[in-house]
Amino acid sequence: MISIRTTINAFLSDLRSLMDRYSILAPSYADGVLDYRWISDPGQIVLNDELPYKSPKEAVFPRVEKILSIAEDAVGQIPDVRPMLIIGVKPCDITALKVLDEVFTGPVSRYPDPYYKRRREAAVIFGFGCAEKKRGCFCDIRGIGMSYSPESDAFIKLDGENLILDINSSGLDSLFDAFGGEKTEEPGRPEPENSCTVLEISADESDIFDTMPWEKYVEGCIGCGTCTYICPTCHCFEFRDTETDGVMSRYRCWDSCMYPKFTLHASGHNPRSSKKERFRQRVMHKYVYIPENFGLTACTGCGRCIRSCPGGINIRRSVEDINSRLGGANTVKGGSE
Amino acid sequence: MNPYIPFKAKILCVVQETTSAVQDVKTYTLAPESPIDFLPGQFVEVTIPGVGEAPFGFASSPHIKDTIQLCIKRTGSVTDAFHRLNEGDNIWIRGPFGNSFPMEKMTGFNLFYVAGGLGLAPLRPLIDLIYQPENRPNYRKINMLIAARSTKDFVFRYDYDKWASGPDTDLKLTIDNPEPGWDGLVGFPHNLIKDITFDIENTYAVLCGPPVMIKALSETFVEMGMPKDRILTTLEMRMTCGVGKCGKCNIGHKYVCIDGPVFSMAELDKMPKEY
Amino acid sequence: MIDDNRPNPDNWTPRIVAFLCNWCSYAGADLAGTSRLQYPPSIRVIRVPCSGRINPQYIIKALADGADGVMVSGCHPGDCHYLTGNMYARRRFSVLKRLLSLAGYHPDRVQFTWVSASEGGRFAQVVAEITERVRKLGPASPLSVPEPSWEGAKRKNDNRISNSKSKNGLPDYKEQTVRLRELSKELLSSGKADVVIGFRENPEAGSPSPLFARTPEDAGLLVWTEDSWRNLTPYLLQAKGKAAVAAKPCDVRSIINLLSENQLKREDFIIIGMECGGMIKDGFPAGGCDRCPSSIPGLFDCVVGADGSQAFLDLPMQATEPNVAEWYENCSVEERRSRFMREIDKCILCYSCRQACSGCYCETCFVDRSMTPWRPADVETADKVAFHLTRAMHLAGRCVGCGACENACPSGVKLGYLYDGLNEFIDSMYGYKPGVDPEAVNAMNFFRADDREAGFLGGEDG
Repeated sequence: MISIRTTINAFLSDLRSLMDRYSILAPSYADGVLDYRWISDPGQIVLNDELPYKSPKEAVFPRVEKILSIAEDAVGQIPDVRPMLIIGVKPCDITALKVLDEVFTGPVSRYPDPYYKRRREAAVIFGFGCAEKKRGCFCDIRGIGMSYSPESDAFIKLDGENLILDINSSGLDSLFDAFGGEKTEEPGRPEPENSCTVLEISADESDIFDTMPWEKYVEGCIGCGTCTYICPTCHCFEFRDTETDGVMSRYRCWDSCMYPKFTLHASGHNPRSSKKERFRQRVMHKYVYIPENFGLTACTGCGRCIRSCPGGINIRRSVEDINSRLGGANTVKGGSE
Repeated sequence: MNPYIPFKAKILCVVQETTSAVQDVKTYTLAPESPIDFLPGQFVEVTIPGVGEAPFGFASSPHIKDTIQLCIKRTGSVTDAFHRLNEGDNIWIRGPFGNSFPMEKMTGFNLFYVAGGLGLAPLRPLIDLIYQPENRPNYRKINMLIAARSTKDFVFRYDYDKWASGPDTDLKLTIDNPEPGWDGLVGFPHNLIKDITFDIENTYAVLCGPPVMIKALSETFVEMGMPKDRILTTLEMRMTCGVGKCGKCNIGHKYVCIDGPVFSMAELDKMPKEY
Repeated sequence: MIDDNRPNPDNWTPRIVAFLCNWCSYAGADLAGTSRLQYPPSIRVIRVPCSGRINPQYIIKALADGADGVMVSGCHPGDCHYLTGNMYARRRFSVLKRLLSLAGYHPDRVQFTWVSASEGGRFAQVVAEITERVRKLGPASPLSVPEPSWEGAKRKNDNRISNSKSKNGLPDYKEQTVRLRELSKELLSSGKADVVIGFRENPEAGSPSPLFARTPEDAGLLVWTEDSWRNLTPYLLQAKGKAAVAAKPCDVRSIINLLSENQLKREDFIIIGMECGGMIKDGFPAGGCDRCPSSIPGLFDCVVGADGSQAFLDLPMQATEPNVAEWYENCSVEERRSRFMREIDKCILCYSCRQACSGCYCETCFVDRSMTPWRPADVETADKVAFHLTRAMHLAGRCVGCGACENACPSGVKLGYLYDGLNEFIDSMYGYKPGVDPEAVNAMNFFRADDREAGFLGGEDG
């Protein structure tokens, strides 16, 4: 693997010159909140131990996206997407992108999603690690090493005023040639060791569906949907059609399984009419159904939902409780509070 | 291939199916831009431009190449807008999606169709396809029990005589309450099937109708000795994408738009009861 | 959408939607026609049985969809064909006019008036006057539809003076916690309550989370802190069995409001009155705190004073937020419009505000009833405007200023000023404040024969 050793200032300056070809999404502050934003100058980029408020999923799966237009006869196509560099993506968010990749375009997903594919292919991920967990984080017990992720296209390490860029992906020479600095050939970095037992659910859905105290877990929920909004793996969506001057446009927008009317039928029947059913869906979708269908658990332990929930819902504690009721197969050892 | 792009279909003909005050059902015959290659049990997502999109099962047999039929009950905004369209108007269709009735597994068996109300529509492609001369010899006796709330609520009435006179077929109709002039059966299907003679061990039951009816019927069939993997039904759920991504239609880990809508009772037993 | 192809700004005919009541105003319009009286062809008439039937949503929707103006006309008060329809409408329209003005719509764009069946001439004159006023304002400025943009959560950190934090060490949260736990244990073990709704520590979340204590052991987990800002009243509405809730003065105002609306029965729950000097959220005063008038809850069954004792101390409060009426009087229509649209721009239509609000308890919200399919995120600003203005109308005279909406919003939208502004208006017009008297009838469900008309054509502020 190529490793580039440069200075932070030189790196930012190189990024500046790349901005005529690439858009850059990176953590930056506004109104006191750190979040992934499209920056106008690399000087706005913040690389620190904080986790940006939302995830970068919006770059590849926008909150609102026009997917189709129908005029008298014509039907619209996928828009051109400017290549983008997503800088400073934490390992939890990198793993989350992997989940979205599987669901939208992976080999198991039927009918790969061309809109997601176009955006994902245009994105280059520059990872950046964490030194410490924040309150609510549990990436370690989800099996994710917070200091490094080999799934990134490149990974940033800071060393005083210096910046080390480890290039993991091949085929991106035209991009990485733009970075100055000392280039050396290094052995590939291994994934960080993880001594924790991974938190997951290995039981059959029928063992959990009716037997767990879901009402207890979900009691504080007010159905605001914030958890699904800031979650890096949540991807449920809805179509919304509008018409202007005879041209119909269809937009795909985010939806939330925690909203009361998410599964409401036109007939008035609602299979998930109570919040217990909706929370059960959320947990089982991430920990049972997606693993069953795609082979990976759709929760990266980023802790955002735990920090933001007004009702104090905690998916990690709920899953731990479920596992202990199932018979302790996945009791956590080594993971910290 | 972009599964989100629909193609045009022109409405050729509109038939009012029900005359009941309770439900307003019409059947639309459509000419898609190009013939659709589909199997009985599959569905399409229909777009009414500017209003929205909703899933509907095919209601006509795939052996008819140039046209398809959809049976639409006026319920919400999309179906309401659909009902206001006329011959010559266009709708937009995506599909076909979903799985289909396991016709190969069903060969050599007797078939017992039970349809409640609008539930007859998704069964019609299967019924008509099996009646085709090249398919009919592969299946044995056909029993049909078509149920409706009242005489005003039957759909595809114009096919009943044709079906009843099909080879080795016994067709019965039933309504919920007696009506003057009605000489068919009266009562709920799960009670009536006990009085119909059929070979319980070598029959596939194909059920479609209100969930209450399906539940009662399948319990009765099971009591009578029918293996659960031979009791088939087709489910409906709220759907958006139709391709297993939007997260609306899953029952447990199965998506109704990909692993269904056709399921056997054996499969449904293993799935959570959230539908 | 009313399409907007007006080539010549100097010579254009305004498009005004006119809601006319069938018995008086529509007949008056007919009379103007048969009398061959001329008036500008600017109005599109929608006939309704009674002015009282007009849902403010229609007017809001007309404006949000691009109408240059809206006119509403009914029978003169006292002459309503249905006896009292227009009397309720009179209050409703005054309030709506104030709301639209607060949101930056120029007052001349929405006019209310009374025209009787015999007043053909007056009808023509009214239309002419309204048209002229709208014409002077120019075409309705289109609501700019922002491109779906990548916006992080913008939590605006106001530099408002803290209303809370210890004043002479009060409130003493440790003592309040001790007393709360004692009370709750007693309520639960004696069977007087099935559940105590309060807070528990949640270090992972960073601020206390709701706790539903059902046993005396659970009650030992209850806490009361300076960041117990959440309004727990919505949980009271969902509670099964007899619930006791730890409630601050603002929470109690919500409860009183719900009592006055028959959503709760007084004997079904217990209020543990928590004395409060204001709460802190993320280092700043929590929403609603800096305009709170009193540290003592208006209704209570048990007392947890500021020092944890069994008596309230009545802490001195400094309400520092300038009142909305003052701001309203001193700024221009453009400034009001800019403030409103800035907030709307941040909104992502997630409905968290609605979910957190104890006043929004409808089984099916009006947005879920609309003909277009329900969806959470939307491209059209018009829908956001329609939602927030309609919600403001629904909360007019009912919002108790607890700040739950602003606290719940992930995007930092602060539209509390609309609800506060309407409450001030309703208080000054009709002498009603919500959340004070559980027996009171809401001002919007009431009328008096001598109600003032504010914002009506030719009248006060008209």
